[in-house]
Amino acid sequence: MVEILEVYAYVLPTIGSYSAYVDVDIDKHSKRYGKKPHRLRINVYSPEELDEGELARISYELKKEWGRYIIEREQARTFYKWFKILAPIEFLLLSGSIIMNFLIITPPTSYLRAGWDLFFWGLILGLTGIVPGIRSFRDKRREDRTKQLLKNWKGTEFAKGTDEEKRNKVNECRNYFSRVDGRKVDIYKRLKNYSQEIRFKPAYDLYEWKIKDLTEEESFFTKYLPASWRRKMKIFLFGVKVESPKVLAPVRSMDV
Amino acid sequence: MRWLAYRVPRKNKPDIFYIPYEPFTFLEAAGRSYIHETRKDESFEVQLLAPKIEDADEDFLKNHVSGGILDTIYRDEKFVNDTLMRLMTRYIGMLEYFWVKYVIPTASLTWAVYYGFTGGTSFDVLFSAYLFKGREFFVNRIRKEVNEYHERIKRGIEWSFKDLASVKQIEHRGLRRLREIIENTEDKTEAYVKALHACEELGLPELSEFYAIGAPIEEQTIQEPHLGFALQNKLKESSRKEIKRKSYPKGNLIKDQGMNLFDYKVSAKSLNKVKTFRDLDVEVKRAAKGIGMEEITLFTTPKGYDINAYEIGNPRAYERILIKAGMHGREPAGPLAVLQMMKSFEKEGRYTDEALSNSQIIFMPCDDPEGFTMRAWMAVDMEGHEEHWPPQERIVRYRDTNGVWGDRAQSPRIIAIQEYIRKEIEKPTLGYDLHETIGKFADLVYKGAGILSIEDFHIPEKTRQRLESMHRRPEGRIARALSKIPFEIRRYLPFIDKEYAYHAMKKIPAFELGEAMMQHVRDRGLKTYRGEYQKLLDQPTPGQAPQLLTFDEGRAVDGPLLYNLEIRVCTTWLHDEFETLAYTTETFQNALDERVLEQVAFVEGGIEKKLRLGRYAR
Repeated sequence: MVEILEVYAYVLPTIGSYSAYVDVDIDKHSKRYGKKPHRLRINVYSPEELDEGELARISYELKKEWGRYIIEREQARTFYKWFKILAPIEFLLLSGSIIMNFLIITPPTSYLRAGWDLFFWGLILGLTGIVPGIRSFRDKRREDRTKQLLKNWKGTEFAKGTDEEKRNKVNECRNYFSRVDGRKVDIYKRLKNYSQEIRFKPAYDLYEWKIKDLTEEESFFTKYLPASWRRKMKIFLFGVKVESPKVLAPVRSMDV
Repeated sequence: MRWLAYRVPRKNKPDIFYIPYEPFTFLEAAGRSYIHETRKDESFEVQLLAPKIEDADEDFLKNHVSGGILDTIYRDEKFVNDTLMRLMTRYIGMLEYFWVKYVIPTASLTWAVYYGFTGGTSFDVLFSAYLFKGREFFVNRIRKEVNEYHERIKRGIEWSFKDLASVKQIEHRGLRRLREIIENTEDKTEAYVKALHACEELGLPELSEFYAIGAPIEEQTIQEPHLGFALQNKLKESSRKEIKRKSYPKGNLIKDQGMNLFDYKVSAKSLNKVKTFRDLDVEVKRAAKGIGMEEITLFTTPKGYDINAYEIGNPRAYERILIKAGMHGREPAGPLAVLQMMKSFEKEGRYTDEALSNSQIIFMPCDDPEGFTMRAWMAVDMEGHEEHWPPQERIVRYRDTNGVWGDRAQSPRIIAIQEYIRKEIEKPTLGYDLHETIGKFADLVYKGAGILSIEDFHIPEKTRQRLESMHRRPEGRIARALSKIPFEIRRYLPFIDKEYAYHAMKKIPAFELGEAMMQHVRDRGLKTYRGEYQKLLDQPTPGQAPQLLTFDEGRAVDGPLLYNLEIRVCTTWLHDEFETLAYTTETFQNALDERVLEQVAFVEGGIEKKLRLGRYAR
């Protein structure tokens, strides 16, 4: 028997067109429901009714984002798995070297030699082998969980949201949006504060993310292929953080 | 598994199936085929969003839609492949890093040989051997693995499409509205322009590109490819080149001591509404009338749009400041920034009076009105034929309109602008040409970056040569590795550039102006081109002469790619012809208001510095 899980989508004002925001985090969702077969029922709260084409667009975005997320996770880990073999070899060489220093050479020269080995081999090779090796294990766990979720996710259906309070909040956001003006980032800041005032968490999350997206100075290239050695080293050791995607679908403008 | 395709309405032609091409479509396809594989119970379906559900042969739909989707995916595959390879090379490069591979093993071996092969030293030999050969084994394994992974993804996608069960048509309100717009508009180009600007509001921003390319195709004079030589098989309507002046009476100004020269209060909603040249022209003319500017018509395009210049300030002043924008239609922030600057003169700021008494400011909001309306890029051929998005097979013959300012073969509109500058402005002392670098693929690199200034001032030949030598790609592995050492260390090393570009350029007096402008942008809380973006620009592209040479944060001059080939962009021409201090600005993917204000702040900083206003006063 396939269980039906309720999730919510809110059509909220953004500049240009409105956005349907599906309030579900794949990481949290996979932790809680990844193991049981389920269908998602997306309850849509919108100031105006959406047609079948617009709903299809939301479902498409959800699948697109979740599908891409798993591929990004897989890709980020594909070559890291070789570090699982590389790391023990380097670890053995390093420990062998240090043990031999103490077995054969007498102190204080043995301490000097151990220091030399640790500094050159330990710091440079140990870190570039062992840390990515550990990272590979960590990422595998998250990847498996997501894979399990995608396997057990048996489809999506839509329903009109029935909670009166949520519907009112969506309408309040639309009305508030029609009254504010200024720079894009300022409009989103005011909408974020307003959502906090009316205790509308999904809208708060959406606008917070929008503000971050507008203000941060980061592109795909600067994130994945940085030019500075400090960031290159950081990515090499700890990997790129694959963020859980925000599911947003454009819908028609519903300005009042 | 599901996929989404669009049935897009066209004017006087049957609808067309369309799948928007986005970077990483390939990864999305891979994700979807993965989901399809894991959920073995679900059949694969393509949803076709359409203006109206129409009777169609099921097999016809299936063949056409799946073919189209696969084409789109493979178009993206090369890009993903290249990106993945670059990504891998970087990571693998960390394993093969010069010091790890050569310096440490050599030092270790020397140590081992010197002290004898006993104890720990024998392990050093083992380590060295491992570094020389062992890691290479892993690197090759990783490379092979990633290639195989990529192939597996491709096969997975193809297999998924073999399971395609049906193409389901779904009605979409937005597409229905687009069809209405197109049917109710008589002119083809006009219909596509209207559709282009309606896409976003209808919740279909992904279709904008379709119409942005669709409109110029209708306008092209070359309709069929010819092998021998170009035949213009559709006569273009003629343009008019005649300078006409029109004065508006001076309006009443409102005092606003909160602003210096330009107003920084913008409305994102209003900016979004200026979509076509007509919208822009109405706003520009309203501002010009309000403040009593002189309107000069330089050129009338075949479509009947006027390319205008607007003069304000003291016509007898020595300082003549030219601010022009809109050479590329796909870059809307420039014209909107000029509009914002013109509107600012409706108020009297702290330095407005002083600036207008001591200078004449000339605004040229848009060089390519049709391009602005169609969001299209224009190119020109040797005979002066202008085309928006020239056909692919002719692209070699056509050149960017910004690249031909120093050539004999130019577009008629550029000749008209140049004539106006020569005869009417005579000698601009400060010049700006506002540009942008935006688009799906540019955004992957530059999204979030602030304003970049490409400067034209006199650089002694010796300094330029030194500047170019710093960017020359080092030959050989050792030189390449050494060139990557941070400057702070590199300056103490023999045989490597001791002097950073910044120090070489700082000796030139004109350098200060650009520095002040960038500082002004920062002071206004706006973004400048810096950090990782700056480092990316600093790095030479392998095997290619750089187009730009950076010498300070967010500042560059034309590199050997343009300079040595004598490609003169607008600002270079201004400098060569009149010794104007000229600046090409580039803004990148950010909110439109941010981009507009970055341009405004940059220009304001320049005017304040040049006219010694405010904190720059003597």
